[in-house]
Amino acid sequence: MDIAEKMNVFQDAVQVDPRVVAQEHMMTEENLYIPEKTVGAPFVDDPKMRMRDVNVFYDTDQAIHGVSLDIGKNEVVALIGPSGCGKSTFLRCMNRMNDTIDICRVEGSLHLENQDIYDPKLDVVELRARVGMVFQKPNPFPKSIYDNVAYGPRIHGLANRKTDLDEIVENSLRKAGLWDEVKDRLDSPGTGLSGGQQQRLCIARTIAVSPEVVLMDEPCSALDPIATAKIEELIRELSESYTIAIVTHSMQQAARVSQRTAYFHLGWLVEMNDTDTVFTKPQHELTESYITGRFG
Amino acid sequence: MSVTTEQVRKTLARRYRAEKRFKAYGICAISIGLLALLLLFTDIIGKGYRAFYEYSVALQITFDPETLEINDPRDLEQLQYGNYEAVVREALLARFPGVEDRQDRRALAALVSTAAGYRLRDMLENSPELLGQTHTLWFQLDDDADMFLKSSEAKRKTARLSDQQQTWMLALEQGNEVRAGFNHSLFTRGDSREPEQAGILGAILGSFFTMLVTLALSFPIGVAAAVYLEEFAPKNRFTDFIEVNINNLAAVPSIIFGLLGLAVFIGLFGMPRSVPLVGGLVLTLMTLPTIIISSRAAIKAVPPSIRQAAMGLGASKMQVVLQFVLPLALPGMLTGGIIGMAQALGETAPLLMIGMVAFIVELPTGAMDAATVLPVQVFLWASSPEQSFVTMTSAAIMVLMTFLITMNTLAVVMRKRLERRW
Repeated sequence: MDIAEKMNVFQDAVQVDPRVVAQEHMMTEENLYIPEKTVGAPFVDDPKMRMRDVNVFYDTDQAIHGVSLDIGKNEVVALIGPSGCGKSTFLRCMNRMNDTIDICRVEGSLHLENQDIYDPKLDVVELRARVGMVFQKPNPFPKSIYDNVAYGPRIHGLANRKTDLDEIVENSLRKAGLWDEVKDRLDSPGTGLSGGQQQRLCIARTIAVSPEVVLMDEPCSALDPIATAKIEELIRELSESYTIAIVTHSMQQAARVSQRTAYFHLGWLVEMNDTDTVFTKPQHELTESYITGRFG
Repeated sequence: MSVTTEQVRKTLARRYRAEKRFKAYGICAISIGLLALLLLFTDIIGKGYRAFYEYSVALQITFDPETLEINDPRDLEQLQYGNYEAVVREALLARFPGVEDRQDRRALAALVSTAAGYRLRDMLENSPELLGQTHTLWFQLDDDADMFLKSSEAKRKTARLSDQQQTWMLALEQGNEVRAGFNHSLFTRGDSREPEQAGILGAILGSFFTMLVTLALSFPIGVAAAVYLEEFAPKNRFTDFIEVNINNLAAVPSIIFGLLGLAVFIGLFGMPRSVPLVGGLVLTLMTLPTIIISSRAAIKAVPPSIRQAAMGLGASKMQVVLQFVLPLALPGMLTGGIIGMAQALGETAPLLMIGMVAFIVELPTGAMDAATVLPVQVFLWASSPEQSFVTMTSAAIMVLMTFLITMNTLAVVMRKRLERRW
C-alpha cells in the first residue's frame, strides 16, 4: 500500500476534525513527505497581501504550520487541498474572521499592503471594509434585496444621499450580474431568491463597500452547475478590479478562474505556483497525487 | 419473490402495528390531558357562572324627611348621618304588613343588602328634590337571599334563610318583585365582607400594576442579561458559575422569593407593605430566570451565517447584535417574556409573604397603593365561609383564566406574526 492510498483510507476514516488529522499525522511517517519549504513560487513582487510564517492554533492543536505566501494585485489565487487541510482557516485569517472563535490563536505576520492585519491598534471594522468575504453557504440578510446591498455602505457611511446609495446598489448588482433579474423587485426579501441568485446577492453586498480584496470560501459548493458557471464568470470579471482569494474543492474551478494556485496539505502549504504549472507540471508528489485524484 | 422481500413483508406488518400502537399512546395522553382540562372548566364554570348575575328586589321607597331625619339634603352633615336603613325597612314593612316582632323585623330587613342605604344617600346627594317623593326602586338582595333565589328547588331547603325569610322570598318571587340582572358590582368594586358588594376590580387593578412593574423591570433586565451572556461575556469559570446559578434560580420555590422580598425590600429598604411595587419587584426576581433562559435560547437560535455575513461586511459587535441578532431573536424572547408574565400573574405564594393578602376595599390607583392580586383574591374568597363567596371564587378563577389564556394566545399569535416577517 503506497502512501497516497494509506492517506486515502485514513482520510475516509477521519473525516471529522482537521486538527485531529494533523496531530495524528505528526506521529506517522507521512509527514516526512511534506516539504520543509513550500515548493514552487509562493512569492510575487509588490504583493497586495503578504503572509509570512503564519501559524494558527485551535487551543493547543496547530491547524496551520508556518505558511508563507503572497497574493498579487488583481490576481485570483485559488487555495486547494483535501478537506481539513486548513485552507478555509487560512482564508479567514486574512480578514480576522477567526477573531470570533475564542480558542483560535494566530501567529506570524500578515500584511495588507503596508498595514499589519494583526496590529492590535487596527480596527477590524476598517479591515473588513477593505477585505470583504463571501461565504460557503449563501447567507443574505433577512432584509430586502436593496437593504442587503445597501447595508455595508450604510454602516460605513459611504453614501450620504439616497441617490448615491441607489447608485451604489445598482452598480454592485450590475457587477454581480444580478441587476436585470431583480431590478423590479428590489423590495422583496433577499431570502426569496434562488440559491445562485442569493450567492450573487452576497457578492454584490460584499463589493458594495468597494473592498480591495475579496475572500471567497467555497462560494459555489452549495450551487448547481449553471449557477456555478455564472459565479465563475463573475469572478473572472471581478478580478479586473479586485484581488480575490478563493477556497475551492473543485480543481476544475481552480483551473478555470485562478491565475495562481496554492496547494495545502494538513496545514502545510506544500506547493504554490502559476495555476497552469500546478495542474500540468506539479513539482511535489503530494500535489500530484491530489490533482490526479488519488486522494482528497 | 426473493427472500429479502419475504422477510421485509413479515416485519413490515409488525412495524406498522408498532406504529399504530405508538400513535394510540399519544392520542391517549392527549385525551387524558383534555379530559382533565374539561373537568376543571366544567367544575369552575358550573360553580362560577352564578356570580355573574344577581337578583334585586323592587321596593316602594318614600324619601320621608322624618324617617330619614333629614330636612335639608344640601347639608352634607345631615346627609352623612341620615337614617337610610329605616327607609328601606319601612318599605319592606309596607310590603309585608303585620311583621311586628323585633326579631322578625330585623330578619326581614336583612333580606336587602346593606348597600341599599349608601345608594339612597348617593341618590339624594345628586338630586335633592327627591326628598318627600316616592319611587319604585330596585335594590340588591343580601347574598343569602340572592343565593336562595339562584338555588334549585331541592337546594333551597338547605339555604341559609329562616323559614320565615324563605316565605317572604317566595312571595316576592311569585309577585314578580325580584329580577335577575348582570352583576355590575363584580367588575366595578373592590373586596368587601358582604359578598353581594364584593368585586374583583381591586384585584384586577392590583394585578395590573404588579404586572406593569414586573414587565417594565424583568423584560429589559432579562434581555440585557441574556444578550451580554450570549454575545459579550468571556467564556470562563465565572460566567459558567453565573449560568449555573441562573438555572438554579429558576428552580427556587417561589415562596423563597417572597421571603427575600420581605427581608430586603420591606425590611431593609423600608418599602410599604401590600403594595404592587414590592409585589412587582418580587415577581421580577422570580420571572427573571425564565426570561433570561428563553432569551438566550432565542439568541442561540439565530443562524451563525447571518452574524458572519454582517461581521464580514465590517459591522461592529453592537451593530450585529442590534440589527440582526435582536430582531431575529425577538419573537422567541417575547414568547418567553409573555410566558414569564403569565407565570407571574398566577403566582400567589410570594405575594402572601409581602402582605398583598390584606383585606383591601379601596381600589388601588397606582403601584404605591395597598392592593391585592387576582390569585390572592381567589385564595381570600376561597377561605371565606359565606356561600356566595364559593361562587365568587370560581368567578374570579374564570376571570384569571381568561387573562392567562389571552396572554398565552397572544404569545403564540405574536410569535407567528413576527416570524413571518423574516
